[in-house]
Amino acid sequence: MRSRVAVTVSVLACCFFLLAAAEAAPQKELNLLCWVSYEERSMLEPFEKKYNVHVKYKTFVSDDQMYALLGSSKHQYDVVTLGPEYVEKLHKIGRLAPLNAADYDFKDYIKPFQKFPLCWFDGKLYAVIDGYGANALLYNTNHLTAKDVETYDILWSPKVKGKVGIWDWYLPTMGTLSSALGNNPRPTDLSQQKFQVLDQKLMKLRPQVAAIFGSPSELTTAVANDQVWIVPGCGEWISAIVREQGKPVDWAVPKQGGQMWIEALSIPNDAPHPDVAKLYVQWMQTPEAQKLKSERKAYNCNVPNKKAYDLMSKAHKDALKVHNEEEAIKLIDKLAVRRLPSQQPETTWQDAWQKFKAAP
Amino acid sequence: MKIHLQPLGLLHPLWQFGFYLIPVAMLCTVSFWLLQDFQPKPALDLQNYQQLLTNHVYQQGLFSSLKLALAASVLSVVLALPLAFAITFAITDRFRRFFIFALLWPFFSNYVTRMFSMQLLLGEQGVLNQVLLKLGVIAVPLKLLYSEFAILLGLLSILVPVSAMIICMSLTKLDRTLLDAASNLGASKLQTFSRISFPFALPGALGAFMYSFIVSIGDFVCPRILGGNQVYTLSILIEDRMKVNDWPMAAVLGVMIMVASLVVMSAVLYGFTLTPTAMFAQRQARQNES
Repeated sequence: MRSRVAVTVSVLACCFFLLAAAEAAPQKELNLLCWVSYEERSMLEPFEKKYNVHVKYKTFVSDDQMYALLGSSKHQYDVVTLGPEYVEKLHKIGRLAPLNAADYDFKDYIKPFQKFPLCWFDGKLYAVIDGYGANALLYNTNHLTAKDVETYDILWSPKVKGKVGIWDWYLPTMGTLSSALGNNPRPTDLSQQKFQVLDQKLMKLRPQVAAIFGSPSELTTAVANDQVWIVPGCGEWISAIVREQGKPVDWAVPKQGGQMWIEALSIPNDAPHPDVAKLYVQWMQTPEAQKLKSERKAYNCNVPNKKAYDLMSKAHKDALKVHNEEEAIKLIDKLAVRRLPSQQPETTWQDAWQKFKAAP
Repeated sequence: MKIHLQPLGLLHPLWQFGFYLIPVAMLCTVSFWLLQDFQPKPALDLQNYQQLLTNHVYQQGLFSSLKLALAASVLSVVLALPLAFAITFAITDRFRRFFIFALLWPFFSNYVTRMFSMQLLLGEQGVLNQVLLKLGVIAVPLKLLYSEFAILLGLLSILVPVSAMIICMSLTKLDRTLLDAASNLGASKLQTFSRISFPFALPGALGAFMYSFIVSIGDFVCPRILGGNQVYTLSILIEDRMKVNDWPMAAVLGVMIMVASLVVMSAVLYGFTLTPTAMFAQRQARQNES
């Protein structure tokens, strides 16, 4: 009888101490509003383990969606991933918290990203860049040659009729087609006349289209399965993944140039856990996290921290076509930073996109 | 008995109120709101409905959806009818359960996953094309995926089994002695089918049509995964509007689906009242009353 009591007391005591220990070291929480891919376990686990943080996330597949989600939330998200074109927009409506630049380490960043203009307003930092890539041309090397993709004209060629893949977001595709029309370095800053030309060019592309894909992963599958041979607005971010599967795919920036998409991290002004948010942004700047980010499963990318390239395999760097800072800068020079339409309302571009989708 | 039935009887209106009338009222309310800087703002404005009538994209969406839903519903009933007849009349009781179970077995797997797996079947390097190529039936792969055909096939894969079950339920009401009597009186198999079996299957076929239409006009998965957004349906339009937080326009499109479904359903029900089966039932009811 006595021993039973002793065992019961011991078990209860153990439970009490375990509960007390759990209470003593509460797990911190981070709420992430992010592009698909940031939620991959390979990206989150090292951060969660290192800082004893539990990351909750909500994903999106276009910055339009991010803007709508953030706009309709209050005290919900600690960190938001966004393109610099949206940093400006969110800053204008006072939705982002200024960051203390001294808290973040830019010394190993390649030069163009050390003090990127679109992340700074009135001398204050509002976003930290953690990745970038090309909106150019992705193509199947079994069906097309590097010479074929020297210009964007191949997109309208009978050779690829019914084989053009499109990602369902107006900005990358329309921006890239605008580059194709010679509108770099500001492909989204178009007069009404130039916009109409772009609209017509877009509609002419419709009969060439195999399918319009709702997410990068669906696009990746179609490229890998030979359903599409060429994708405007695409680049290393899909090519690297498909090449890893042994598929004959490559990417190129045609002579008219392309666009550069950039991913950055910002902290909303109503972040419930700003300290944990700062830790996350700092972590994402480290070479280790940058390598993980570059090698994500959903889509790959180049990263601003040059030290991350020392940790990557040669095959991965080959797929990115960037091995060092010099090559990174050469690539960036060919690309125009992706921006929001400036001379027309966004809805005008979105309506044109909807018309394109609905066309037979 | 009555004491137990009364509270139970309340369940139906309560259910309808909570899960149908309130959401529909909310849908209608939001359809009059406006979108300002990607945020829905409460208003009482007809602007969205005006857009619906003037923007050809929305009209095209409605046309594509109706076309697809009607085609899927008709095909579903046409394919389900022989299946239901086979299950009811051609299979012994012992095997019937097995056949029904086999028919419904795919529903134990996830719908989205099933549609993605159909991509592997229909793709240019998919199983179907490879088999046809190897057999020499075709010289170049057929473009099956990302087409209206693929969407229809996907829809039929979910509609036909359930439609067959609905028709089977209708056929089980058929008194087998009627079939024997017809045979004894010298009716041919075709006459027995057209005068007895088929009329009994009609109410089930009507139910199957309505089920198929409602499912396919609002389906989003097939047009997206198998159609590759190549057929711009109302459900894809709704998703596109939701992507930019345009709840008001998405609500208008939702209302449109509801109205279109009501119109088609009413037309079909009216058409059914003109069939010999319905007329016979009405005659019977009148006779019973008198």
